[in-house]
Amino acid sequence: MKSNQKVLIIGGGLAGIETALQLARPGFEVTVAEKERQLGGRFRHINTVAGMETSPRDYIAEKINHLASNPSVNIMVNTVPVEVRGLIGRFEVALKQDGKEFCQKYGAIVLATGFSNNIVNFPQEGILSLVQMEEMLGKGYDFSGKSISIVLDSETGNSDLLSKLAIKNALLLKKKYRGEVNVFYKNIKVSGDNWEKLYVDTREAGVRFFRIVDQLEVEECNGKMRISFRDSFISGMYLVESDFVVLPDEIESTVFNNALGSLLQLNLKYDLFSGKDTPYLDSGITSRNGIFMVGSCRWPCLTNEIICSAGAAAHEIARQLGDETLLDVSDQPQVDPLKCTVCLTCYRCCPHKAITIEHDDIIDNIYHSAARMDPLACRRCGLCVAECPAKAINMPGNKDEQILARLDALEV
Amino acid sequence: MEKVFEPKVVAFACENSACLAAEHAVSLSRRYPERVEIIKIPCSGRVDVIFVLKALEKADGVMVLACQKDNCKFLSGNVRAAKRVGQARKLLSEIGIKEERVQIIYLAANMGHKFADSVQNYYDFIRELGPNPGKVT
Repeated sequence: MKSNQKVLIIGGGLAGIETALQLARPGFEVTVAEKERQLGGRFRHINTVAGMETSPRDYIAEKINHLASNPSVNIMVNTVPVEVRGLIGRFEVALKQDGKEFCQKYGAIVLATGFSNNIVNFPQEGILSLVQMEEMLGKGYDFSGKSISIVLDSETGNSDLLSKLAIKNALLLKKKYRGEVNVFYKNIKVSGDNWEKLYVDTREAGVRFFRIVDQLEVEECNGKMRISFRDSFISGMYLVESDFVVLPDEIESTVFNNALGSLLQLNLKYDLFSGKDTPYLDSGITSRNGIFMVGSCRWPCLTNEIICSAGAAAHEIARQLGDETLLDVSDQPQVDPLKCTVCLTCYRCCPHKAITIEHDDIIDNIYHSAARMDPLACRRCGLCVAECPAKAINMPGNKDEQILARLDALEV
Repeated sequence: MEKVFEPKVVAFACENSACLAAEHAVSLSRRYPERVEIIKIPCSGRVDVIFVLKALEKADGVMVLACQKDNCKFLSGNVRAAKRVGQARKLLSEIGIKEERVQIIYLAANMGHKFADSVQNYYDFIRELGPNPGKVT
């Protein structure tokens, strides 16, 4: 049985578009479902991408054009998934477009829904968040002659996205708008190609960096924002006045923190976003085969990282859907229907949701039902084999008898 | 002259971490006791209570070598392994065998030194503890 070769991509931002393009190249049929009216996502609103000459708007417009002209890509806007059933190779997804629900079949699903930053409505006008400032710059707001203070005091896992955003815009504000720019930081992380240089350039351009120890305080004073802080190098309290104060955003994954994760029955106990990432999940794979996460919904990403993760996921999808040797059942756990009591223990404990309960008259037990491990969804860990209370599951190569025989033959 | 007690230890090793750590230990020229028998399993979650009990019919101690916490390739394999080790320990203490004869140790594939150290430490610990009274001869 060849699996369904269609792929559903949820989210039409850069991550979704790039994954679609990479998948369409070897001939996969791709559907991009975007919840908004047009594609582009967060990329439409940003001002610059470090190291890129073209404007992000032109860049994403070109990508969208490529996508729209590709005959194997189907773009659906105003569309959200409402229900997902089935396993890799045969997902059934109920999609809702403009209030109408319909069902489609896919072989794999890619989540490319990005991150969400909780927009806090700050009481004063002079306070912005880092992402808000990027969007204001993108809209062409004139910061000429304004003094700006950027504060980096929160930590979103180990992500360096906010540090990079701060550095990039500090340099831009200094060079383009010639204002006075201060950066208050507890920790700055700018790893990656050319970022260290950008940081040095920013310092050389005259942006002032202050390393702060305690919480700093911001208050309004005669139309200006006054920041009082304790410097860690020259001890003592200091005051800095500026027109704008820019605070870091609180960034959250759109998969881990809303219904999408439970809709897809993902194992959310291992929250990648908090920094405890698992190297096994590098190619965008999740707890379930056939469901992938690309771009900032996995981890706050910049443009080049998004493109890399899209490529890695596309490669892994092609491997999981295209390789028929993966359908080999000879090394996967198998159920002896005579012993299976349909207790659902394996169904519940499977970390990859690879087990289904089959009902058929030819199944030779009194329930005419038994558990079944799907060869594509199963990752051959053997958890269910050890867990089965009826000992109805066995795994070729790692059978109970084989391991017990080995223990029997132990030389003392 | 009295014979020195050399215990027998069975180590169930996850093929994604501990088995690779054992190879790494060898490549670092680290030695570990010869009387530690490594049994390769696809995931520490594959370890059943019966394996531990069966192993203790002949051996003096059992180690379950699992992946680091939150870093299991199969997400919850090491969590289930820890539960089963707990269950085995309970059964052992009920029949009067020291529960320390079963131990779970968390390793990553690149921890050759830690592998050698923890295997040696456990081996020495079992030697101190003496022969397993529950052995079936």
